Amino acid sequence: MTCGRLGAETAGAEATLIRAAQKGDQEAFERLVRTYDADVLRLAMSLLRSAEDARDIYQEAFLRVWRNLRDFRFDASFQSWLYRIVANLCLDVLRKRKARGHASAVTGNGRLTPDALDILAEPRAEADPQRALFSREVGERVRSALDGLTSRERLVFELRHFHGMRLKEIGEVLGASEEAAKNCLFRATQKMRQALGDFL
Amino acid sequence: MNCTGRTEQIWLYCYGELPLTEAEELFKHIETCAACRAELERQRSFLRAVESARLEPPPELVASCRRELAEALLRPRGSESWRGRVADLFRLAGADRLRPPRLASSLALVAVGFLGGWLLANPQISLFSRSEPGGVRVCFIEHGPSGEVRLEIEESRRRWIRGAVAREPVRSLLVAAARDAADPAVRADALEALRQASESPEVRAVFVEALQRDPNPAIRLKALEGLRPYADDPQHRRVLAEALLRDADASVRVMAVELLAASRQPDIVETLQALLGRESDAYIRQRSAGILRAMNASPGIF
Repeated sequence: MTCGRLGAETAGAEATLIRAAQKGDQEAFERLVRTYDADVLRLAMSLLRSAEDARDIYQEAFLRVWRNLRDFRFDASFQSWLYRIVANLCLDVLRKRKARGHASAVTGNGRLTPDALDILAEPRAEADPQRALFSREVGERVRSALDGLTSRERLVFELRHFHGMRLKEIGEVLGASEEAAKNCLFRATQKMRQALGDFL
Repeated sequence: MNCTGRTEQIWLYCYGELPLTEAEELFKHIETCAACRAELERQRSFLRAVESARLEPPPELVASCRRELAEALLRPRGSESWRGRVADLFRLAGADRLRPPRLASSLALVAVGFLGGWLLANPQISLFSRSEPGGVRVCFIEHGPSGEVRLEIEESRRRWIRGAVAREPVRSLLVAAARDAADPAVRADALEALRQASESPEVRAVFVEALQRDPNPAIRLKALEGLRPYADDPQHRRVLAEALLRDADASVRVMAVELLAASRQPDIVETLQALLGRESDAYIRQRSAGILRAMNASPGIF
């Protein structure tokens, strides 16, 4: 089992927190939330491109974790279990959008809608404004290319690139084998490279 | 030269998923194969490009999500009754094994949630925020309806501190929390609360410090909000001008130019003229030129 994003804390410390939360210790639950919540929000934002939808996913995901934590058996990492919940919720939203005939929050020209733009931050802002501008343009192109992936490919791509998950862990999130995760990531990467073409 | 299967190997290598022995063998091949070297470079530049699309949730969004989650854990939601929610809490704890003390403490916990009517009604509740200002750990910051805040701090044990923002020890704790690098959500909450005490030079210094040093642009915007009432003051105008000229984030520069322009003081002319020669953002350039025109000033330095 991996210890996810606890940083200095060990996998054992995370397991202790989980066991305490399973017994109803709210402080332990808070610590788990605080360890993973920014990542949960980032994943939901990336997949749904909507701050409001990401906010709903955040709340529903952690409420489900709180309600079902006692059923967590340490078969997979806590992070994989949590991401699986988040991923399923996000995929549900995307399915519903598709059924309603909605696209994502990305407009026809590939630009994000105001709701999505509201949530963009630049934590690693460049000191050089020209470079920052170029970086922003590249970022927009990549996000636009991401829209050409299927929901599953996009999920796998996001988990690998922006959450640093290994193929084995991605497989756990998908409920699939490592090999299936690898094939999906390979397809996604090929499509992305094709879409970005000479921009690279 | 046999390059069959090399693309996948290169790709796996870049993702850190290629076993060491295969990686060694791949590099032996790459030394002698220009096509695979080029493919490795393409994959690396692809990964660099992807990195620029990384989204980060702003600390304010994280903080508000934490508040909403804290509220949701304390109150009924949707079709669920509060009894259902409480039952959930108890079931989590193992209701069949609940001993009286745990039952009492659980009831007390729920009671605290319901007793604080304002706590449930107020959108500023922050049950999931924490920081470590100078040995004392600020765990929670709550914004009350009448402008006061309530802080939970942790020394050897946690406790709540309630009081007006301008009064001690609340102010000092908020100042320490605003400077704390650990959690941007707490820094944002602390700066928001400190706006009520901005008449204090110490508090204004915190805003200046956050504007100049905080790595997170959302926090720097919060700091600018705190300095808004002092945009006419020469000392603070210099700080705003510096932010306008040097901040890496365009949204911070936009707000700085708006604050500086609001009072139309002559000192802005020189700043805007300097800015026009280096600003990359079209909107800021346009806005600056407009302000200069309105002030009958030349857009260039002669």
